[in-house]
Amino acid sequence: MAISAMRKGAQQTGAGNLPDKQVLMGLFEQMVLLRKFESVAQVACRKGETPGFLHLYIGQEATGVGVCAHLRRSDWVTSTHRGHGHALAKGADPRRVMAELFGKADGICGGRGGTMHLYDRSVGLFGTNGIVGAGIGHAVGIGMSARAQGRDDIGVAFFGDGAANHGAFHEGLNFAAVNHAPAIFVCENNLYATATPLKSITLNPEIATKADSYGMPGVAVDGNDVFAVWLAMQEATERARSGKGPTLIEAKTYRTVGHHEGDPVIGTYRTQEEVDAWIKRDPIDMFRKRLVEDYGIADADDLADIESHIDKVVQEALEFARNSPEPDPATVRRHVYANPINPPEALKARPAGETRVQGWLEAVRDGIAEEMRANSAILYFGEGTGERGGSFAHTKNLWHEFGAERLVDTPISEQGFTAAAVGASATGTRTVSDLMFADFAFETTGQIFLQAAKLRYMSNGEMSAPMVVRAGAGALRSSGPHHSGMYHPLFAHMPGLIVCVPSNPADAKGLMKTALRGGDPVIMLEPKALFASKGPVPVGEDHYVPFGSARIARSGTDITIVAAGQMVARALEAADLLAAQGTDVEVVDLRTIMPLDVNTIVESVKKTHRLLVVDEAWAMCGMGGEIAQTINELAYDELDGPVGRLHTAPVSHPFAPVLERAMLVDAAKIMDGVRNIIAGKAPVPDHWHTTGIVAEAATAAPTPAPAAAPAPAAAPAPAAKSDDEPINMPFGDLTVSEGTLVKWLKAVGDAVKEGDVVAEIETDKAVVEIEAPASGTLSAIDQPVGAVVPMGGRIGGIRK
Amino acid sequence: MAATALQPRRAASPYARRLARERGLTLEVLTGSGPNGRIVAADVAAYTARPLAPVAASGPQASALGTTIQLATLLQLLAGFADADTPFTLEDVVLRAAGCALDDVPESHSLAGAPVALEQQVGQLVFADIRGGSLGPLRARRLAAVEAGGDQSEEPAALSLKLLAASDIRPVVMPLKPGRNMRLVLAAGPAAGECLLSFDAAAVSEDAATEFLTRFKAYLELPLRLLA
Repeated sequence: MAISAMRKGAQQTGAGNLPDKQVLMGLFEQMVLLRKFESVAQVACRKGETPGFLHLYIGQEATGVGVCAHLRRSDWVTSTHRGHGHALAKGADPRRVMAELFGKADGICGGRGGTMHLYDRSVGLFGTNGIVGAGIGHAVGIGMSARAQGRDDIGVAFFGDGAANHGAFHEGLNFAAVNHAPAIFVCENNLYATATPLKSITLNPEIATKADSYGMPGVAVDGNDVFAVWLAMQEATERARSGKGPTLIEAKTYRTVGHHEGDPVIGTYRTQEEVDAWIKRDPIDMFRKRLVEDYGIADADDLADIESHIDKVVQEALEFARNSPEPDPATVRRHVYANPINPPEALKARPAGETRVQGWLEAVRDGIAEEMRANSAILYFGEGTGERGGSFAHTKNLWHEFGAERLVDTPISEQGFTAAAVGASATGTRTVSDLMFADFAFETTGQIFLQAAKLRYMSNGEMSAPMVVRAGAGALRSSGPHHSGMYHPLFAHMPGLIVCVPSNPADAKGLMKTALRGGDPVIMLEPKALFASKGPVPVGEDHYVPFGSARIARSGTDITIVAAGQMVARALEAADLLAAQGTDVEVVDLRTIMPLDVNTIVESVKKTHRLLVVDEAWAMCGMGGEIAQTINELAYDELDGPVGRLHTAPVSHPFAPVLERAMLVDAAKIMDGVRNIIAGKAPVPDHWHTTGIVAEAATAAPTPAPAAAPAPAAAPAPAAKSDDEPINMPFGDLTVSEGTLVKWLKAVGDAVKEGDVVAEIETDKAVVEIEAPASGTLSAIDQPVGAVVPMGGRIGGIRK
Repeated sequence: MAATALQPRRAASPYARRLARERGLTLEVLTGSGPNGRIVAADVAAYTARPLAPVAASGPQASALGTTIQLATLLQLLAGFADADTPFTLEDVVLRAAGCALDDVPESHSLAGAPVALEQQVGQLVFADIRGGSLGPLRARRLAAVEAGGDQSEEPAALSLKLLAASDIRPVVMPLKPGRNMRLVLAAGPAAGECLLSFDAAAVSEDAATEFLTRFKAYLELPLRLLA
């Protein structure tokens, strides 16, 4: 508020504090360019020359021009659906912007983006944007990215008053403030969110004051006064560049055209009188008058010369757009993914070398640390992933090595920090957005699907967001409806996303390392159920697993099972049991869902002629259907029976363990499925919720579960002496299955009181103090120091 | 159409269909062991591996042998005769080759000297003692017989001979003519001919048929011997 008051004073005395004439004349010329460009675009739109629909910037020119006058090419702006003015003010070529509005090949995005998706990395234009508020968080990440690379460039977000009531605004500003991000938030308050008056949708229409909530300065300026905007932006820019943090600028302005071309200028939400009053405060007319009358640095002829020059510029832009060719339809498939999709490191042949057994979490932590050491421009955003080391201990020690600047503890605002990760990743600082649980991805799906995934395509291959969205996924021990989901088919549906679902520590590490080198956004879904698993991991820092390369987890001849993640282990259990009955099962571990290694599946089916898809995600529009149809298309003549699919039952994840077990695919269900397919009958699912079809599984007699238990740890050891009170390793964290006994504080024969600490056990996450369950004498020590004890396992006993 | 409609569709897995196609089996000969009688790959494998049905003690046993015959030398020779204004046709040469090949089959098979029936558009013309004369008189006999017309299908002959008026065709199954234990069919192309020898194994041994066909092929591929 202090700054806001100061700005008002500055406006009054601004004339005495004038910058160079050249600057002032430049502001005028830029505003004229924006106005005349939009006027020409308006006519072209009405003639039907531009496809789609346009949102014109007419009336708001002073804000875009006043803000961008302080920016370098290496600064970035993020913009809105009403962004032509921002693009031009940031320095984009008017001819190529116009050609983009025409959807032509010479447009700044080759006709792929269009009016609401204008990207130009050569001038620092991070896109106009069709999604309200989406660019706010990008600007935060852009600023943090520049800082991480040792530059004082900044990110500037334009948005409207409508966005000020959107979560993206609150999450973005809060995240920026707490990180002192070199970012500036410019709210162009034109009073209406499309046609909804601001004061009807918030009880605090003074948007600048909302900055108080986040502990940052907020400035309200006359957005039709280019010099006032220029002054406010000058101070905000200095703050941002010098590391003092972000500023919110509210520019009060008005659009004097309809919301979009074709929308009436007045409509039901505003009056002609109101529009007329604002037209009298036209930013160009006001500034023209001030240049001539107040500042006396130009006369009418000088300004007329500028205007006629701009007339030529926009006419030339129009002709350029008209004459530019249409994009070649043969190019429509380009720029979805990097080409090649794998980084060179992942394609290097690596001889099978030495391995060592590592836990999943440790292996992936090693992979991240190796990449962060090799590339100082990697940031890691997550909730509690800093000093705490993550909810699953999945970032343990990284904060200690890389510090709080790189291991950034975030607020619980997935949308805010994922948007920042998009902005940072697209500007040279690849960033991990750690969502903790995959279910939380839905808090930021817009950023993942609409921004990160589409960036390469919208920008005609000029930009991309090689971020890693990391999340623990899948069912584990009654995590319940909001912490158990396995959503890889949803992500794989979206062109532009790479989706990984590893099944073992080596692949998890190798895929993570590849993700941190690749060119595209990667969804890394790590099955929580496997966090406590161990496996051989290649020694050395050059272990990369390529995207789109499935693994034969078990070779067989009678039937192929395709699986991913924790279903691979279930399929292998079933395969071992079936082998004893004479059925030789091949198991294909997909490793990445997108790209999907269809060749390996087809080659396997050519060998076995039978296929069962086993997947932890739901069936509807899912992996089973996708892979079955792939075989129809690529290997129909190889099928000796129908393709089968087994998915998690089509219900939310229940809490009760018995219900959860009933919903999940286990080895017994897989064995039934295999037997059915070999008998020529696919298991009939029931996920369509249509009438008249009854799932076979529902009517079949229950099969006794095989010995294989879902928990990887061994069963607790039986009590050695029945008359003792057992001392057990307590059940604890979701993803911890065992611990190492580090110390006994009592010896056999010592007297102990209930609650005394008798031993210490170290798990992957913490040291656990083991208390005496009863008073008496320590009668037995069953597990010596150094022993690895499963949760629930007995370590000793007390004689009461 | 009615018969097709009444017959239920044979269910077969795509892989079983492919295997049957590759082995030249129709689905009708297979028995399906899958759900609703669906034919699966194992059924094709079982059919292929089944023991052959016991050979019938009597009655005809349709058998066939095939070969590809290189004709380039022969056709070049015929072109040379045409230039020299002493034309011979393929029919003349093939008729003589068949007769000579029959003569070459070891005597124990009782084929030597047996007449050969040449299939016409309608009926057959039968030629005995083919080796006795040379190619010129044989051609004259053939033209005279054609000129005279008539059908000698009832007269005895060891085999009937047919030239297919099409090249690039591989005859696979051709029925025997009544009263003939062998039938030789040749589809001659510009460089090679596809030849099928059908025979009744109950009347002509496989060894004899093989010997005959080998000799016939050799005559056509080294045709100068036919001129002697």
